[in-house]
Amino acid sequence: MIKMQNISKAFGNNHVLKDFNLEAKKGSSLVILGGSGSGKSVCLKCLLGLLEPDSGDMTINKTRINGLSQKQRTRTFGQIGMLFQNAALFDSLNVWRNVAFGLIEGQGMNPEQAHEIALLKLAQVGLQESVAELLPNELSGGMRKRVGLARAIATEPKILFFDEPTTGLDPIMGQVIDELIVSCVKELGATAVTITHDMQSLRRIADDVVMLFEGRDIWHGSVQEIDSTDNPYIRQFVEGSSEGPITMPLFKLGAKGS
Amino acid sequence: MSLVRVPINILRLILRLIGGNTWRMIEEIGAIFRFCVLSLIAIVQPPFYFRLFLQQLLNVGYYSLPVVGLTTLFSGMVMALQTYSGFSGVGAEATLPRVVSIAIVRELAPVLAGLMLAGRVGAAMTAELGTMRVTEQIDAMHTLGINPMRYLVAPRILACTIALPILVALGDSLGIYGGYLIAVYKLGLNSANFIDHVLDSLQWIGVFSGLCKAAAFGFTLSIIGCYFGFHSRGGAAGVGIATTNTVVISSILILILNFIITEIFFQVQL
Repeated sequence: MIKMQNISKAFGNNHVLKDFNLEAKKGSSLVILGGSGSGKSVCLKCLLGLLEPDSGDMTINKTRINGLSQKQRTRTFGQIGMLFQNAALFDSLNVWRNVAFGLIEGQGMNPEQAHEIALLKLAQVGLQESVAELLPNELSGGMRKRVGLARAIATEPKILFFDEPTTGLDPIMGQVIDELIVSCVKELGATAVTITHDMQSLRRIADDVVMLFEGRDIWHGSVQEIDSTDNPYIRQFVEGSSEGPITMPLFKLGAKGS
Repeated sequence: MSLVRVPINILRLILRLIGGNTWRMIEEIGAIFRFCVLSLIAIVQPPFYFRLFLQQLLNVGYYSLPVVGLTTLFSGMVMALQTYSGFSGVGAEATLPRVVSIAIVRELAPVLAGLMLAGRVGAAMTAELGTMRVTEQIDAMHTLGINPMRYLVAPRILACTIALPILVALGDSLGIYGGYLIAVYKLGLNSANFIDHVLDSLQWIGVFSGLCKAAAFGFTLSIIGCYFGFHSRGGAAGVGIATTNTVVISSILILILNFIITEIFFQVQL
């Protein structure tokens, strides 16, 4: 189980997370929903140990993870898989070396064995063997995401994080990636935390949902409850309306006082 | 009353500006020092990525050979011409081999090689690590359980610290050879005399000080290059700024360090 309790994080005077709470049950898929700049990525970076929260507790399987180094995290929970928004593939390495990176450099596996596993994982995300020797800059956006997903699941982690997995993809490729995420999470029996603002993607991958607004968790519930809730923030997000409690500052060219 | 307040407010603004910049500079120096300590820990702690170290050694050492070689060769030639034109007026042209060899070995080769590598290698390190930072590749490395300080920084620093003295040793030979070419074939000095004077003037402490400088410059420029790359922000523009900072700051630090190390060896020789 992944838990965040009263997490606050500020950058100077910019308070990004304010007493944020989250709970992802073991083996479930939790989606953090929120608009741009609501603090979703900071929340994920805190969980990954890339940022240290100013206050609050983070636990995985009841073990406090605040201040733990990556090595200590790996030792305690095994590998953690992460799919980055832009895949974050190592551009100097070819596809199979990207997928096998954690196995070779992290676990010390011999390259031949890692190569076999990388090809298996690539097949699992629907990529052919011929892709293995290509460099990341030779791939399309959807293929890059698939390679990123293959890299995330290569070490068979029990915890998976996804940062806006469908952003920048066409709807069909978005659905393919979502289906791959669901099947990979199910196959591994992993606990997954995803951040997104894509409602269609949320409906496909989420078991539970947390709505994040201005650094606070303002709604928790299951994916089925999302359509029946009368929470005005959720309603506005579901309907994709510009009218509601969530306001976006618009600066019009030539407008007085803008 | 308000007329008095205007200069006070301006003064306050100036002081705030100076104070703010000074504070930021102190913070930056502290951060670089911390990065330096973390890098040293990364170098001595296992695992050590030997393959990456060799790759960096090839990149820093072998591929910098033409740049350092040409720079020191022509510096030696210029040094010979300038020394001759300055010293022949007082009949001291016989000291030309001594002046050329001391200048090359103790000062010109290490400083010029350091400055050349700050531009070639330091800037490349910042651009490479900076791009990895802004495209989240360094974060990805973290999540895969690999310490980027050990994987990316340690091999670069070690390779630079080892490669620069080797390059400078080669640069010393080429610089003196450049002086020899001008002295013997253009200015008509005796070849055997030139070699004798050079061998006489080269003391172990002079050669050693030059190599020490090279190692210190290599360490400094790689620390600065990795630090600014590692802390790049703001996309391509941020990486550009970081690269400029690397070249400017490492060049200035090389010149300051050159004075400090020269002063230390000067005290030792006394």
